[in-house]
Amino acid sequence: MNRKEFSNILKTRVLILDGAYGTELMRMGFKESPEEIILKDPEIIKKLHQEYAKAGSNLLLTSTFGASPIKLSKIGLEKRHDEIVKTAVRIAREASNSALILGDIGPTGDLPFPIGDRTFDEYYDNFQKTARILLEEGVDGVILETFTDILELKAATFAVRDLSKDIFLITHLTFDQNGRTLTGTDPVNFAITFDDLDVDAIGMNCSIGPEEMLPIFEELSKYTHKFLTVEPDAGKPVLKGDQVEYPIGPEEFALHVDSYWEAGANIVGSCCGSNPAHTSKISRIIGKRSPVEKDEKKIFAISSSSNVVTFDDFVIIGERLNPAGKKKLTEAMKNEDIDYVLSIAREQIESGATALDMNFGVEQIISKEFAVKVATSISYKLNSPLSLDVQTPYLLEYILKRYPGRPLINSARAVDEEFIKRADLVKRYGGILMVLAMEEKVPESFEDRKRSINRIFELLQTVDLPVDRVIFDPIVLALGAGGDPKDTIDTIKYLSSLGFKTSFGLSNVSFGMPDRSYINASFLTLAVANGLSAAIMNPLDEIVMKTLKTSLLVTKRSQITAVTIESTDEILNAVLSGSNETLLKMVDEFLKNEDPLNVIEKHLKPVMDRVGDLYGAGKIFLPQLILAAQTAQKAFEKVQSLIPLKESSDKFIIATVKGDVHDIGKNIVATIVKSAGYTVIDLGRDIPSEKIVNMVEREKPLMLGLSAMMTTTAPRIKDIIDEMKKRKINVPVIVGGASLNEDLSKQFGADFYAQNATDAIKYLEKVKKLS
Amino acid sequence: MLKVVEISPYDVELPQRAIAARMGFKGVGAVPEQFRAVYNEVMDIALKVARPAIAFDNFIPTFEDAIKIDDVKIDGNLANNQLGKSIEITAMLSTLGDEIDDEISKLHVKGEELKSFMLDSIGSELIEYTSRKFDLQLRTQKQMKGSARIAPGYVDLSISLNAWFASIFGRALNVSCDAEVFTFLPRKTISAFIGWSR
Repeated sequence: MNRKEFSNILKTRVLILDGAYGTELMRMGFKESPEEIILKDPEIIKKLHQEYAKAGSNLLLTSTFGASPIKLSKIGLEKRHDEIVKTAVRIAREASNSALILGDIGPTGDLPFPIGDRTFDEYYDNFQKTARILLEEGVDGVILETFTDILELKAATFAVRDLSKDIFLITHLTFDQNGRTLTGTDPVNFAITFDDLDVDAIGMNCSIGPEEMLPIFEELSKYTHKFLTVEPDAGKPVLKGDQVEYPIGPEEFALHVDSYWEAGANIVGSCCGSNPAHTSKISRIIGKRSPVEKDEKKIFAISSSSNVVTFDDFVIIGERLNPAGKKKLTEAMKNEDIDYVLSIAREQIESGATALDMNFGVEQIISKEFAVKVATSISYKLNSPLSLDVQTPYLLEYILKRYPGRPLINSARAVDEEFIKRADLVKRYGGILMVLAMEEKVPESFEDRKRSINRIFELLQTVDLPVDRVIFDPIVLALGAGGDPKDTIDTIKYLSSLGFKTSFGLSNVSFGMPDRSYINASFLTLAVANGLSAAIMNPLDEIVMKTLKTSLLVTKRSQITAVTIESTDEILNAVLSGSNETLLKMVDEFLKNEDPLNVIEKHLKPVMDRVGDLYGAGKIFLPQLILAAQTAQKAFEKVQSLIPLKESSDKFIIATVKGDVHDIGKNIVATIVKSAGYTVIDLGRDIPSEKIVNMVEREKPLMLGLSAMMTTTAPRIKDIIDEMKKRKINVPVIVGGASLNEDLSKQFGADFYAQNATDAIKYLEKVKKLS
Repeated sequence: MLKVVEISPYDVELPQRAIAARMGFKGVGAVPEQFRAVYNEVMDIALKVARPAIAFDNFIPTFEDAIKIDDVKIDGNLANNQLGKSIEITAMLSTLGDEIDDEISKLHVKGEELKSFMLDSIGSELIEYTSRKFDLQLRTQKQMKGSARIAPGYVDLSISLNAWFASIFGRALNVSCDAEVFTFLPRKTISAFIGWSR
């Protein structure tokens, strides 16, 4: 079966993968590995295949998980590699009864350099030997499973794909309960890295049970557009006497199967500790279902093996790994002094770089092996993604293939041959391409740059590379050589208005000038204000870094955590831990020296702002936000009772619309708004439109909040807003609820859409300032 | 023939992960230690006030211009995909009863917002896993292939079908449905179809 036929089946139905072999054989009393049993007693494995097929498996895995040469060499069977692999495929085929056969390849058990000694090429050769036999024996697909490291998995992927473009290929990592692989890769990183590669399905298996694996699988599902496969263990193994037991039986395992289907699984099986009874249950529940259509999130990010850097936040790409003008670094490159190179990388990261630009200088004198060692060392040891500023196509390809993650490739001009070559590499090996807004000649104006950008769009279509795989460099020219920074800024503004990400080499602007730090800082401020997403810059330059930090803050592109609010930390701890008594005691202390309004404005409100920011940044969970609001609310009530009525706070009316009885979201918003010091009039749930409008007319609140959970109740929002307009009630309306979104809320005439529990406060503050 | 099954809430296995995720502890897999005491307290309340019950019946579908049972049309892609080959369709309505709704509201009124929110989250998972438990029992008993359990409001299956569910099963479970917006009361109530084929 070819990959297209396989994919077509998966578009129409969910397939069931078999379960464990190793642990089943152990349970039967075998002490040898399945590969040894293949040689000694293949009928036992054939019988197990038959049982899995009978239980409902549509896909059988060959017993070749540990049959790669490196793995076999550990039990002295490497010379029998071909025989083991051929026999394994034959017996699976004989037992299959129309089930498809997946050639199974597991990891070597050896970690890559620099955390171990294995190189990409050793992995690649090893896996290709096994893959070649599997393909020759006619398997229907190949599964690379239980890999603990993203680079080893990448090597195995290319080993298979370089042999056949036509085989269905599944790649799996195995995650610990903390949501990371042994070498630190998380599911988002796995998704963005492998979505770029020519694989058909990605997924996970082993290490943890179905309950623990589900949130990790859901995360993977959100970020990938590949088919999804999953094989949880039958729980975590427990030692009973000298026997290892897996606690989750078929019934309990089955409880979770629906959730995997809902999360978008296309192929579901089970791993260690499972048996054909588990398969039977899985098959009975989802064996005849079609797959669900899932929503996928797009993320613009680069990564190292264990760190994903998204361009939603400003990305500081350290520029100092460039030997130009640096004698010591040039020597280090020549002498392959990796420790010195890493020290330059480390000081940049410690100074705030979130990624590093890697330029090897005169590439002809650098060995390709050294270049890869530098790239993998920075990735594994310093967790920093790289921007590969490599000019020689051969060297760039060599590094890209061996890079553990998703790199930035710096860069390609809008010159046909150059662009197509680089884009082809990005398509083949993954990553984001930095494209320069210039053709052969250096651009002299904004119009020149715009023309180049249009050419880039045409070239992207030619090479079939999606536009979300590129970041634009608007070209910075030296001020001292007559370059006009305004052209660069206009280009950033133009690209930002189109929704594209931008990055540039900052230091170019001040080349040959005095006061370089100040020029760089001023230019960066302007660029940030116009939407620049990233810069290749010197993170050791304090003037530039401090200016960047404050520019991001004033343009609201970074969290308030960049500055500290004095004397609120203890209060923050009290509200986050729900310590009512501690908080009230603190408030009493403040009230001894300050008037009540001051206590609200200087202490309580700032701390709730910080709580809101922490929630917005994903640093605390919703229950922590609710607990903090509930706690702060009591302190607010106490202080507000001391304020004369005329000075009392602004009003906020909130209600769930007629017909909608789901009010938990509305209740949470009401509590959070109260905790920010507003007077909340909560009308409740299932409220007739007229009652809401009458109340708004009477109370004249600062804002009205409406909640609707159901698609059938959401249109009531429009009725209420229309009625308010009819009566000329000019009160802003914020809306929220599961059935709403930004567009729909605009269509209904709402002023604001609340995506989460803290948005209401944000917009209330905005309205208050304008009123 | 319509049947009603009552399940003790203590017999419904609720994965901790599911509740934690519902509460917003995403990617954590469990309710964090800081919230364990309040979570245990709220879970005790949930087990005391929830009355999981399921009313269900089996129908023989007809297929003319659309899938029909009991003269009600079940149309759309989801229904066609999942129920299109059915020789029998089970319709089921599951509820936790109204005490849990009352308790959620009471906690809110008392200013115990966190507990109110947690009870609401536990209730949502409890009703889902009650349905899953019953679903699993049906699949074990039936000697046929079961489709996915599909619910009105999901994908393109019209939520207005809830009115039909309430008209058939509502009296047995004391469940009503808003005639305009098709929400159920008590709130922790869900409906579903499962198709059975050979």
